[in-house]
Amino acid sequence: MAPMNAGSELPPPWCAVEERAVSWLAAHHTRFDPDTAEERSVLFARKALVEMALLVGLRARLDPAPFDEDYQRLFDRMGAVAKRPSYRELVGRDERALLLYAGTHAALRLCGQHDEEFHHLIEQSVAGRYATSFERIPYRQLDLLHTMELAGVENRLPAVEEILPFTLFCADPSVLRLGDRDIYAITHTIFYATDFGLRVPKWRADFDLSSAIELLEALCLLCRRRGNADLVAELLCSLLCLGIRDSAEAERAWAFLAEVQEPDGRVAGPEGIVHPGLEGGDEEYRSWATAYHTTIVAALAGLLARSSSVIRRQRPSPPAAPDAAPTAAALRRATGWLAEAAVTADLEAALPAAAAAARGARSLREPALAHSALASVVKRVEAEPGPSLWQRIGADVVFECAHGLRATSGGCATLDRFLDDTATALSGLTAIPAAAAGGVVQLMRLDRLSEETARSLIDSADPAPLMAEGSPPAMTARGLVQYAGDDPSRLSSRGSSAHAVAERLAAALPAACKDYKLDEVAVLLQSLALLGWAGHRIVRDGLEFLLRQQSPSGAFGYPAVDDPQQRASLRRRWTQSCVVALSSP
Amino acid sequence: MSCSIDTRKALEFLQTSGLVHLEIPLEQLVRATTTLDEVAGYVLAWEKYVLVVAAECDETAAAEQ
Repeated sequence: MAPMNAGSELPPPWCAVEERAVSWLAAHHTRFDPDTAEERSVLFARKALVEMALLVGLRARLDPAPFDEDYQRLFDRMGAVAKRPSYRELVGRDERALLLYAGTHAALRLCGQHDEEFHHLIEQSVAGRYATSFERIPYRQLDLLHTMELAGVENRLPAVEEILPFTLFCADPSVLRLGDRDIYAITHTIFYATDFGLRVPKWRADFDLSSAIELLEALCLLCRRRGNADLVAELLCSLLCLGIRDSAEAERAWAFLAEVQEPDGRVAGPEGIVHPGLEGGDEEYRSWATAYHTTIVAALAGLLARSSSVIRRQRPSPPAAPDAAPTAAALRRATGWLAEAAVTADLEAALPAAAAAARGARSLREPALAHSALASVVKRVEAEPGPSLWQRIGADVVFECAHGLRATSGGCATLDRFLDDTATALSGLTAIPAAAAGGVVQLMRLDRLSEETARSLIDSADPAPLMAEGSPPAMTARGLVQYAGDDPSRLSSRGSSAHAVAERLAAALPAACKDYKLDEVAVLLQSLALLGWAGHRIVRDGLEFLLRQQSPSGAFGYPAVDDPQQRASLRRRWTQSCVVALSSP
Repeated sequence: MSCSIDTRKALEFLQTSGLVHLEIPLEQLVRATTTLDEVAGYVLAWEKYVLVVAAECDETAAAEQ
C-alpha cells in the first residue's frame, strides 16, 4: 500500500465511501422520520434523525458547495420533521432528552436555517434548571456543551477545558481494557472537544498528542480485526479531528471501510448494535436499523477527510520509549521467586521452575540467581532411576537448564548425554518442521551441532504454515516462538506476512487479559516481540498488564482461590510464563 | 556408545514445550469480570434511548407475567 503523505488527497476509491454512504442514507430518508416509525421504534427514529441531522449540518459547515441531491433530500427530511409541533415541543416536556431535539435545531442552524420558535423552546427548557443540570458522564457533558454552542443557546455550563480532565481519553487508558462503550466515550470526547476538527482544545498540561494518536490507532486495529466498522469509522473520524492524516493505520481503516461497504453504500454495523427488542421481523427495517449509524459515521469520515476547513497537522514524534528498569526489576524478583520454588517443589514441577529461573538469570546476566535451583534439580535428576526424564520435560526446559548449568560451571551427565544423542539423531536430516527450528538454534548455541549443519536445517524450515490463519492465536504464538529460537530477525524480516500474523496475535490480547489467561498473554507478548512489535502500543500495554499482576513476593498472578496447593501451582506456572516473556530479547 | 534417540523422537522432542502451557487452566473457575453491559442492556452510547427501551422492556415483561 503506498504511503499517504500529510495533506494529500484521498485516493478515489476511498473518496467514494462518503458519496455512496450518503446515497444509501438518502434512499432511506423516510426511516429517519419519527412519524413513519412504528410505535415501539419512534424513539429510535428520533435518535437516528438527530444523528443524520448532525451529518447534514456538518456537511453544510465543512463544504461550501451547495448540497447535492442526496444531501438535499436528507436536509428536506430533517427540516420537515423539525417544523412539526409534535416533534419540537417535546423539548419543553421531556427535558432529560434535551440533546435528542436540540441537536436537530443546531444542525438546522449550521445549514443557515435558524428557527426562532424552536430556539425559544430550547431556551425555555434550559432555563428550567434541570435539562442541562442533571448529572452527566463527562463526554455527555461535552456533548451538551457542544450542542448548546452550535444551537447558539446561552448557558452557564463549565467550559470544555474544565471537563476534559475527567474524560477517559485524557487518562491515556490501557487499550486492552477498553470495551465498546469506552471507545465511544473516547471518540465522542474528541468530536466535541475539537468541534469536529475545527479547533484545538486546551488539553490538560500532561496531555500527550503522540500517545493519544497511538491509542486511537491501536484501538482502530483492534476494532478492525473484530470487523466492527462502526468503531473503525468513529476512530478514523477521531484521527481526522485531531488533524492526523499521515497514518498507516488510517489507510488500513479506509481500505477496510471501502471493502465492507456494500454496493448501494450501506455499511453494516456490528452484531448487537440494535437492541433485540427493536429488530422485529421486518427485514428491510432491520437492514436499515443495523446500518444507518455506521453508514453515517463512514460518510462523516469521508467528509472530514476531504474538507479543507478541518485542521491538519504534522504527525508528532512517537512517544519516548518506556523506562526498562521496572521490567528488569520485576524479572529479577520473579526469577528469585522461581529459584526458591524450584528447591521445594517436586522434581516434575521443579525442573520447569529452575529452567525459567535460569532463563531469567541469563537475561539479567546474573547466572548465580539460578545456581541453587539448578543444583537442586540436577542432584535429584541424577538420583532418578530409569530412563532420563529430559525427553519428556519439554525442549525449552532442557535447553534453559543446559544454558544455566554452563553459565554456572555446573554439569549434569544425563543432560549432556541426552543433548549429544539428540544432536546425533538430527545430523542425518536435510529438512525439519518449522517448530523444531528454534531447538536446532539452541543445540548450535550449546555447541552440540556445527553451525553449518544447524544453518542448513534451520533454512529448510518454512514458517508459513505456522503463520497462516486457522490455529488459535496463542497456539500460533507458541509455534512462532519455537521457530524463532529467541532470534527476532527470523520473523521480523518476513514483511507483510509478519505484519498480518502480528495483527492477529495483538488482537487476541484483550480477550486473554479479560479472561485472565496469563500464559496466553505471556506467549502472545513474547511472539509479538519476536515479530518486531515490542514498541507497539498494544504490546506495551500488554506488558504493563503483566507487570500489574506481580505480588511483592515476585510471583505473578492472583489465583483468587484459597487452597494453598492450587495457589502455589498456579503461581508457579504463571510466573514461569511471565519470566519467559520478560526475558525475551 | 550407541545413540538412544532416533530421528523421530528427536524431532518430536524439539517441538515440545514445558514452559508454555495453553490448556484450559483453573482461572476459568475464578473468572471475576463483570458483565455490566449485559445487565444494563446497553446498546450504543445513548443513555436516554437505552434507559427508555430498557424501561419499556421491563414494563412489557411485567405486563406479560
